[in-house]
Amino acid sequence: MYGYHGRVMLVDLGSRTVRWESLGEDVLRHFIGGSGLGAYLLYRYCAPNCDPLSPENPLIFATSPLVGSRLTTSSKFAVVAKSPLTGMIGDSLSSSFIATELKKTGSDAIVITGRSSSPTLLAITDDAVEFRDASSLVGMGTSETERAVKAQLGAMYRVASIGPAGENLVRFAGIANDGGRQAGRTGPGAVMGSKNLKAIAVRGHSAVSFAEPEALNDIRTDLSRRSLGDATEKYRTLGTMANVSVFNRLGALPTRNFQQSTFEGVETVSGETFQKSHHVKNAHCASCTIGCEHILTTTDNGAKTTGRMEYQSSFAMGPLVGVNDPNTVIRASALCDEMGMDTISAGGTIAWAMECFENGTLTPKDTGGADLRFGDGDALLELLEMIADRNGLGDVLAEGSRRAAETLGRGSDEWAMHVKGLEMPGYEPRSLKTMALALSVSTRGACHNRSSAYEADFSNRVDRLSVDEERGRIAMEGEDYSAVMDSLTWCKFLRKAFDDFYGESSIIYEHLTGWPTTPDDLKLAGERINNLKKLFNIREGWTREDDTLPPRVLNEELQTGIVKGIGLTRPDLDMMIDGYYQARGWTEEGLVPEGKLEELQLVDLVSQHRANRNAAPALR
Amino acid sequence: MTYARKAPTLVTVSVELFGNARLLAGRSLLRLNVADDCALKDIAEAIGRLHPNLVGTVVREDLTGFLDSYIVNLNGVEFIDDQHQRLIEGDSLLVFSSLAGG
Repeated sequence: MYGYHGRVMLVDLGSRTVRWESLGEDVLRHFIGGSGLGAYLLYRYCAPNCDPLSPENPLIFATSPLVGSRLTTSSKFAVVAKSPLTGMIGDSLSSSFIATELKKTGSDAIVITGRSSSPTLLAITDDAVEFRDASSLVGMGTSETERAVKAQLGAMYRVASIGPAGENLVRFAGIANDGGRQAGRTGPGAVMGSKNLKAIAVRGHSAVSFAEPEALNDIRTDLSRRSLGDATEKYRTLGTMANVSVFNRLGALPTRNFQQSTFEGVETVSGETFQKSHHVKNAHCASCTIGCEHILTTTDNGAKTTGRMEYQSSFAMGPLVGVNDPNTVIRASALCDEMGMDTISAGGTIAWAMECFENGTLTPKDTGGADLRFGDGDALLELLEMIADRNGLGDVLAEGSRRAAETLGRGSDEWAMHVKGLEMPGYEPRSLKTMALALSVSTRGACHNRSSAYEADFSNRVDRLSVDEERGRIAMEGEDYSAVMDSLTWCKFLRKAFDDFYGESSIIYEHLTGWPTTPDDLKLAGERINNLKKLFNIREGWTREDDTLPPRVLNEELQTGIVKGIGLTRPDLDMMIDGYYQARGWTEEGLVPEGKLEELQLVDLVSQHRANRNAAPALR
Repeated sequence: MTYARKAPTLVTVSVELFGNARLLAGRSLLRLNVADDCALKDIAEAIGRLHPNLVGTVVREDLTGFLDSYIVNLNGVEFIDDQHQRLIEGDSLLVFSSLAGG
């Protein structure tokens, strides 16, 4: 077999046993790798209706046929588990050296189940798996953990670890690797923490062979050249932080818990300001020629803090919580990385709490006397620490905005800004209507990355302020395209470097694996992967009611900027959702009909697990 | 009755620069006097002549338009191409990266 090892490593932390199962050509061609292969393995190995924080929830690390090819941006992997935030599929991508090292251990994926009786470091060296005591690592931040593990095992090991947030089962805890890269969304760090697994260290020597290495060499050179041009200019110059001032001008920058879509303090936390006044250097992932990572540093008299910054972090630690001090934004983002928390969910949950405090729903008695007002950077930093440690109010907020609102009550779910339990990213849905649809129907909750639907809104393809049934087809095509990118696994920042994404990717896949592949094969795989993710959610209790947006989005018009007076009504959202289900070939209730299962060759996989569907009530 | 095309008139429009374009120009706002029926390439050319360091980085080397990596929005509402409607006095043209997302 070329491009793959054709097997998955299965680790049981409870019994401390390891075994391997083969992955056949059909499975690999149908689900490709990364996010798609992870979804397949989750569907197969996750006990239906299990508690996401129980030993039965598998934590899956999946690589792809591109990993190890040294094609630019290909060194990525997916982390997949049932999400403790949403109770549905949780998948998150990360990148850099550990992806290559994972694959060199001789498996295409690692599935970890069970729960260790004590804190554990899983050290994987090729086929040898060692369950090491990790008691000395408990309480360490993610970068500190990585350094300590390398000191134990050697600098050539690559490390994925959780921080205090993961240890304390913060439901939006992430997993960090390679000096701060994060598999951030949907709470995989909490799943890892629930298994008493502090870190995974990998070192391998089993490189796969590729079917047409010489052809791949030529493509590697060409693609690297293309990755340096206009197609990636934004990512290399200001990075994704460039969005801040543009989104503000377009009325698409969620501010103060989505009460506004413009931020009066935008200049001080814009990408332009960060680049001029705080930029230290750019950094690259392994096998990447783009170098999108912008390393920033603080410039005030406080403790010197240096860390990477992306748009979503600068939005969530800035406008979303009303903070306009760039040094605080840098510190808050770095703190989330070190504690091992998703910045978007952390910021979204704190923004909910700040609104609760300002409208009197949360009182000083609830907060331990603290003032939680928008714009208070000290309160933000303190709350982040309290969440990671589950201290005081932090224990409630560590559950995410949906559960926190359920706990507090008093109508506070009206301004809990999440979809399916996952906090909203920095795209205002009322002024980005295609994105509104994609956020509502995404299988992993309020996710911007699994559809890239914003691309339509930021173009002349659609009127971003109005709705129509055609958005369903646009959202679906974006989801299928993204599924192929996330499964192969390309970095999305490379997407404009392709002249013909499916055409070029199918040729590359053929050179990697030796399997004849057409562009339509890849398109079908994208559709299959998204349908399987949906089938997993249906198995776990999804209904059409879950495909929605927060009440604020559907009940309140935007108040500021050029979009003042713009809203999104429930009937308009329903019309777009109907169009989406229709484009997908699903029923009016959003279910996948038998004919679609047959078309996508999913009948066998689904029927194997149908008997278990009603085995137990769903736990979310 | 005779049908006559309205003669072009000169209007003053604002150009708001974002991202790398703003950093390279060292300013966020330009004002241009252009014909109200001008094409996008005319605006690109005017910007390029005003700020030569934007040529090859934002505007095409031959001044025939913007690079594909940039996009232009009219008044924060409508993304425009060469088929755009006539400009009116006080219009704002927003120039920013066409690479959405992040």
